[in-house]
Amino acid sequence: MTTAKILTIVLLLGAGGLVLAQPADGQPETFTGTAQAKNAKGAVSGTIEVRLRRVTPQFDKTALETALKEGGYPRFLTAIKNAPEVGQLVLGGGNPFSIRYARERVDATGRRLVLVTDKPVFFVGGGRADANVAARKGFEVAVIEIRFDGKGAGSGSMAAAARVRPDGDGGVLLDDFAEQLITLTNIARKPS
Amino acid sequence: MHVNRVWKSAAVAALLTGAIACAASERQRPISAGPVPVGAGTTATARKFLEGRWILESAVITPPGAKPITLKGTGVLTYDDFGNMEMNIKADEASSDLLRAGGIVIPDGVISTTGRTAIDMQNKTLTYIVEGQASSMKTGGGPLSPNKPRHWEVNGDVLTLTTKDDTGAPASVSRWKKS
Repeated sequence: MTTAKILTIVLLLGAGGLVLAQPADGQPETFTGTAQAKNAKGAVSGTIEVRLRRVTPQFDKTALETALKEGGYPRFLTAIKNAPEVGQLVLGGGNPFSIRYARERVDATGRRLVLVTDKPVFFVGGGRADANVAARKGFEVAVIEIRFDGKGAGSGSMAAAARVRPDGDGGVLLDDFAEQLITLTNIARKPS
Repeated sequence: MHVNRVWKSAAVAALLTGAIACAASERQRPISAGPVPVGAGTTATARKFLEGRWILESAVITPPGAKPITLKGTGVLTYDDFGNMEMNIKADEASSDLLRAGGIVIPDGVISTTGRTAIDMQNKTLTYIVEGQASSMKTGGGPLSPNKPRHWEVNGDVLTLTTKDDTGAPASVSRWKKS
């Protein structure tokens, strides 16, 4: 398991730049690309598709922030399950997972999306025959970050089975089930 | 497979045993509890009226301290002859956003309640007894909370259900038409 601070981005996303209430042109968007998971013993890759209908309304964002700040991870989980589905995530052509948190920031360097699902989407290393299935407990969301440069080329990272907790300093810690974040490459907006 | 056949045989035997047991109990005579009042204004009449399927015509919800929200969407309310109720309302995205902004929990725009109903003829209220709740009146909640009694009014084949806030003002008003 690794601990990262990338979810800080989720909660601080509104702190700078232009935060949009809808995807760039107000229309649903679809992004496709490649996800690659690695650990010390090898790597596996597959397709990723993000279908984004809209970004999370401000009051839902506030509800999630408040839940995490005041009630920790348990209340955050309740809040994310009560938030509306704003998009879907599909890995390797499988069943879609609900995205219930989507934030977008556009600034001079490009565009950044942060997405959270209401379920874990993949346990890297957890599917092996000798894997400790009990260790999966508590990793109940997935967090994805995608960055687009000025030309629209996208890349990012994903904690496919994660949990979040306040760091006691106004930020948020992200615990990832995997040893490393999944790398997202060649992310491009699919023509509609 | 052999194991499957064994289990199938066991299942058939169990079903037959159950059928025989049921057949035996059907021979027992029902115990009469006396005549049930069925005149106008009785609980039996009210239950009979409620029985069936109702389609949502309109709903206006007033979150605490907020302006009334007209819910756009669809809804079906079903009562069976045992007093069981099932209500499903699907609000559109704009209505859902407004309701959530008003503090009402409405996951994916769906309001769904299943339970039994208790009819209070004197106060003209329906109370939902939702599974897992010992008493539906003990806890509070928002305007759509199943804990709140529904004040009913009947106009032809239209049923109006109203919940009230702590001051007695309407917190939600929904109109249902029998289908």
